[in-house]
Amino acid sequence: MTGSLAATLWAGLRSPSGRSGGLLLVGLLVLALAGPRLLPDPTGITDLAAGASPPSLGHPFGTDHLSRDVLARVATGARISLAIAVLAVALSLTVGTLAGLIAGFAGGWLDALLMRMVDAALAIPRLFVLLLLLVVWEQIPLPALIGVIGLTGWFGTSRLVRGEVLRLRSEGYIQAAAALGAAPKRTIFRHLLPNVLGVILVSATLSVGEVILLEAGLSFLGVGLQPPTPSWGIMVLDSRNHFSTAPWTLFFPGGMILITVLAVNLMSDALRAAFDPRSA
Amino acid sequence: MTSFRLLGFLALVGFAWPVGAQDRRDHGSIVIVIGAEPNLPVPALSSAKANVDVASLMFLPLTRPGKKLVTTDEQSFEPMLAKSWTRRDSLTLVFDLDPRARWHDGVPVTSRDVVWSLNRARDSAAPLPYPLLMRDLATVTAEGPKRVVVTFRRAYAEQMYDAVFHAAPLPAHLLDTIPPARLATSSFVAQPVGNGPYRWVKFEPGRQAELAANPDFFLGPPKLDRVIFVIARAAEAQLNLMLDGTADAIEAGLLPRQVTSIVENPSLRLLTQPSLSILYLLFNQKAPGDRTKPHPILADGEVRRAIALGIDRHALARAVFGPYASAIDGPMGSASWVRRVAPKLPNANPTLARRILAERGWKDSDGDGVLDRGGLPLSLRLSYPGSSLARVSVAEPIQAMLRSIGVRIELNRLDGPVYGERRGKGEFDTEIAGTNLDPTPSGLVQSWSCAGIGPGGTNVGSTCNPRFDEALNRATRAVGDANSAWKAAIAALQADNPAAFLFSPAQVVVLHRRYRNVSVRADLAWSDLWRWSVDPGQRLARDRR
Amino acid sequence: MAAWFLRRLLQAAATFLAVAALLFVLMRAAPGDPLSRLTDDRPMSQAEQQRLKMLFGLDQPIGIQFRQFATAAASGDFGVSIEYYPTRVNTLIGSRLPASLLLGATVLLVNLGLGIWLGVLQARRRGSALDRWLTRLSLAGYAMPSFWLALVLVALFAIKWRLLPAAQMTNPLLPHDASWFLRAKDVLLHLILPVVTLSTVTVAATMRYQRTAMLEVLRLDYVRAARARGLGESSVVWRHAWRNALFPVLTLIGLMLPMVVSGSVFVESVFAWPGLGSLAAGAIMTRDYPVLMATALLVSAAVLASGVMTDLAYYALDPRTRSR
Repeated sequence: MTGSLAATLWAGLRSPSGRSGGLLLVGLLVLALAGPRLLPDPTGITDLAAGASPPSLGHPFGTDHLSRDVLARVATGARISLAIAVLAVALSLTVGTLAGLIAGFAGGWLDALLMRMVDAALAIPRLFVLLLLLVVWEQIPLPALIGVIGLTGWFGTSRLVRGEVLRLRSEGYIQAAAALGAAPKRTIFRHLLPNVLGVILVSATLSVGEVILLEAGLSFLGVGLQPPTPSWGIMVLDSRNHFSTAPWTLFFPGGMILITVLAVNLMSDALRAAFDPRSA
Repeated sequence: MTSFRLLGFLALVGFAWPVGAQDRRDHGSIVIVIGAEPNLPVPALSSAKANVDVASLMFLPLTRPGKKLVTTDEQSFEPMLAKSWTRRDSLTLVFDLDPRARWHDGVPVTSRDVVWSLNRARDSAAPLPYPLLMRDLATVTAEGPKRVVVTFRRAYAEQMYDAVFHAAPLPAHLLDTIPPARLATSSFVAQPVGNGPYRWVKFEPGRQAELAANPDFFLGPPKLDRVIFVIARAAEAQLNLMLDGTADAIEAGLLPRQVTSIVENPSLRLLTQPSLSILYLLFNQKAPGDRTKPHPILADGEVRRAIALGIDRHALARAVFGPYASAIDGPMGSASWVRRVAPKLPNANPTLARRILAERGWKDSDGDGVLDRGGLPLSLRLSYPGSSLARVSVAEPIQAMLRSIGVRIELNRLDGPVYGERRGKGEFDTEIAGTNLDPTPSGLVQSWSCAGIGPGGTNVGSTCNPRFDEALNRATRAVGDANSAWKAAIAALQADNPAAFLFSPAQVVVLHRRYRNVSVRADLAWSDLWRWSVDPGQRLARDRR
Repeated sequence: MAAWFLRRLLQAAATFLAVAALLFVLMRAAPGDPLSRLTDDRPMSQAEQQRLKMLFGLDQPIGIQFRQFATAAASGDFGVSIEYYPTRVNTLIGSRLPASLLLGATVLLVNLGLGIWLGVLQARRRGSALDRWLTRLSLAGYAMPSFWLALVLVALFAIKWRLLPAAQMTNPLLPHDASWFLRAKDVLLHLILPVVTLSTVTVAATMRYQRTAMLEVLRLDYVRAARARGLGESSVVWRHAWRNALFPVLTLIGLMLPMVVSGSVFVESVFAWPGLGSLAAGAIMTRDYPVLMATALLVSAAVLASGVMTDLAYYALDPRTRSR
């Protein structure tokens, strides 16, 4: 099983969309890891009076309204935004998938209980829960931020996965597997998971962009990371006031979010195709 | 023949003239962007800006301060509902109402309206802060239908201001059967009847409030006949409504970088003038969250002075607001008259700041770039509300400036209500405060004197300097020329450095180029709107009927 | 069926009550003082604050506050707004709900129509140039941060080319006697940009889900059997296959439904759309508890109702789930 899983993943990565997605992700990682070492201080205000200047040779992405290098800020922001995007989404996908599988597979009262809890969680605006963090943390550490974003984001995924499981059940996959004497665990991993992967991956790509902006929204409420630490979301939200005169300060961080989501998109497309060649 | 021709010509002129005049009788419209719903547009019922702005077009005060807003000089006030006023003695002011003044329902404005309204605003059932603001009024009585006599508890220079500024008269004939506490929920609020240049037409929640010219306005019919306040809360939506041509005017909290897109727009122009708003870095002199203990760092006045010297307020104002802000020397907006008599604060001097800190024992003993003393680093938290564009913009430059004198600032961008809550409880080291002041400097009592600590006041930084209190007391009681007393009071405040005073952003009004005769006031931006007109050559389709 | 449905409804009602209590506690536990922002930067004394607290009942212990709220809310009264005192919350919500319903329903319709149709089309023409292009478009579509998209759309269509209005729902200067046709046209013009912004991401998602689901169904035996029986292609696709490919899309639409009620807080703010979303955005910024509570309850009711409806649709669509 593990061997075939690795082979499938590898096949997915080698497909055209897998390769372009992978390339983009590697590019982003290089930017995040090497960028901050090579570029000027992203928080350093060199010349307050100079203001924003458009992209040039010295500053390929231009400078922002406080004369800071946008490329350096984008690179530093990449560390934070990518970490949040990847880890928080991975966390919420894992929890969401597990909950969805259990609910769909077990059915009965467990299903009802889990799904009513998910209903309740979906019905409460995430914001109120996250605002409470201010009571606990004055300046929230990044791992905690990731954990909290991840743990409050899985409800939708679990509903989608449960829906898929119900559909597969109705199509007789599970009955068939059970009739052949397969253990429930085996049924889940062998038969169900590959089939619900499509839905999980789509849900992942949707969450990545959302989570990057959510982090920014939180920092605006004082819950998230505090300035001058740059993240893409904060840069996007901050630059909306300078959009009409310094559009590059919005364009580049916004573009990075777009590229990240696109890369995740391409990868997920490739993976799904590898797991289920007929749907490509 | 000739006479016939002449007759014909005269006839032509005679017939053509009224038509032409009709056409020339300035029609015009204006769409103004406001940030919230004007749900209570009645004077002295709400102090929310949207309500005050809309009410200022419908309700006139008795008199108002002249354009320079010198609140201590009653001769500089302009007649409004009261056509004249006289002083009987140092405690008594007499107002004579303009006999032409009428309510929008046709009933004349009488002394009964004024007496009822002022007494209602002073009533303990009235919403705060009005009873507090008018606490020095002793009695308000009528002498005949057109004369009002106001007496005061003590002699002071701002009697006129206190009597007229806070509560514009309401129509007693429609309201005196309603208990004061129910006024805000009465049907009057949904269909207010005023006496000013504009009357209420309708309010569409979430969208707009519409006013129409009052053709019988006793000071002359307004030239713009349709005024619409359109509601948009988000700053980008407000700006976009101006840029796409939907709206004609906005009193904007804009940054210069946004302003350039307006300057480049051929149909808009900017009007800037001194304002009553200020920005300052407030020091908390008590321990955060515990007002019984002194602040470990900021209780020392010399440290406060050093930090204030470490901030280049001129550079800050220029960088964030460009030409649209000016540095201030105390808690006074650039439109405040006290500013003209106040002593100047010294300019930034990082070398001196470092020396002062060294003298107070703050050294960088561990070489991390941050000063320390006895193991305590010179590190302070700076809170500010993330919703305020101006304060967000200065936070990072302040952090950078103070880093260079060895002071570490941890930024704490907070949600508005959280910021407000912590501010009220004194849970902060330093904060970027922004305030829109009243024209009078006497409000300094609440925010900067010892008496302002605790329930009655707004002295959240717990500054308490008896020398300043004494000087301020002398200034607010001064009769006649109060200037030198105010100068001494401000100097005493400056010497104590309760805050690092930064700058006063200009009042920026963006408007369409077609308006003529434009005048905007720093206290109530739109209250002169009825004098504006549309340049006939630039009239748009929406200005015709 | 009736018993199942009744049980499901009871569960939803119980969940709703739990959510209401939880929301109330969360809201009061969250830091922030609703009174501190009432006066537009004018400092407020503690005496004034105390008096306002009494006015809004905020000086009472939270248990009593909740009892008062619950008793009033049970009879449909959500109290008085703090920011817009003395306007009643019900009045505020009533005046904002239509705008949100209009925006949300339009976006939902675009999704149900365009999104599903394109998804099915892609599945039918799998591997064709059309499929590849639509895939690329949908990938780009939901990579788009809607925030960013809204600003760019406004900058181009409203400000640069002046084709569409930038914000609000109506032209403020429309004459009082304007015909219903003019009014409808005016609202429609204002509707375009917010709908395009909200639809770009959601339609892309609907398309992807529909395509995936459809592909899985199209290869199943009974679809092949239907084809073999010589049924027309469109009958096979829509009558037989699509019915079963609706599951994930239904769940997705169920997740979108609450948006019909609440609008999108962000998009409504950027476009100053006079709906519940911008009302809620303001209420968050000022901690207007009564308004926040009412809007949050409306949204949770919508979420729970859409959950019930999704389950009901599953039940109706698939005979086999009925055996449970």
